[in-house]
Amino acid sequence: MPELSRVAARLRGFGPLGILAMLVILLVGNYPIAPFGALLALLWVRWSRTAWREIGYVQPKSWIRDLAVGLAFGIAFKLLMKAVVMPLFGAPPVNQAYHYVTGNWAALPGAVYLMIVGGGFGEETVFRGYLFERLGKVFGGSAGAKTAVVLLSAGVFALLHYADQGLPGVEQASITGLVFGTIFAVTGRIWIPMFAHAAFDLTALALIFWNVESAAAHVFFK
Amino acid sequence: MRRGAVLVAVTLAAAGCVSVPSLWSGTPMREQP
Repeated sequence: MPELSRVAARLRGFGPLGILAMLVILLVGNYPIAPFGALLALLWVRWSRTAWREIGYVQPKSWIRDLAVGLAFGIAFKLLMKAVVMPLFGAPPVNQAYHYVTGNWAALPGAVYLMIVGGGFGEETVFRGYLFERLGKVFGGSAGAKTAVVLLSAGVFALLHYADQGLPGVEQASITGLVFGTIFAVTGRIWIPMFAHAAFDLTALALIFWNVESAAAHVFFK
Repeated sequence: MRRGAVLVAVTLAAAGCVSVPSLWSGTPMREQP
């Protein structure tokens, strides 16, 4: 038992084992399948004997309320990004990385799984829950420190969208990372960002599947 | 010291995710043509 306690302390710390765990969790991502990185983050919480509340896994006052708020916010946020914000960045109206999903019933179940499990659950668990806990431990809990944590986590979150979605993906993920990160930093609870993230991605998927991305992107800007 | 180690780890992770498409962005589902 003392040996397990030592391993837990090393996993919680920032020596070789703690840093290695951090690298693996951030890098493994959805490889070989979503949400492998998030599952490793949950294992880290358990093995390091970290309290679940530290990663925002806190019992909500009402699951229905958090679900409703998250879904409504996520849908509205995506529509705002598509119709107003991304056109202002000069982003192309069609996201080529996911265009294969348009009208593609065969690809739909996998894509829906990826949006909910990979995006909502996985990315929020790793880039809000886990990463905020790690960065919070070294930067502290002051307002300035929390701001730094939001900025840094959003930066990493943005960059990992470059590989498949290029610069527009980075621009969009910078904004979503800042927004979801701010909500998490203020509330300390993961559920609204998680539900909102899944709703955001599913709204994007719906626009792509029904081939109305371009129409949505030209609602205000012809 | 701790901050430096964490910042290096985060930077390495970000660099890895950018340069290796098969990590966060490269699941088999996303690789469909």
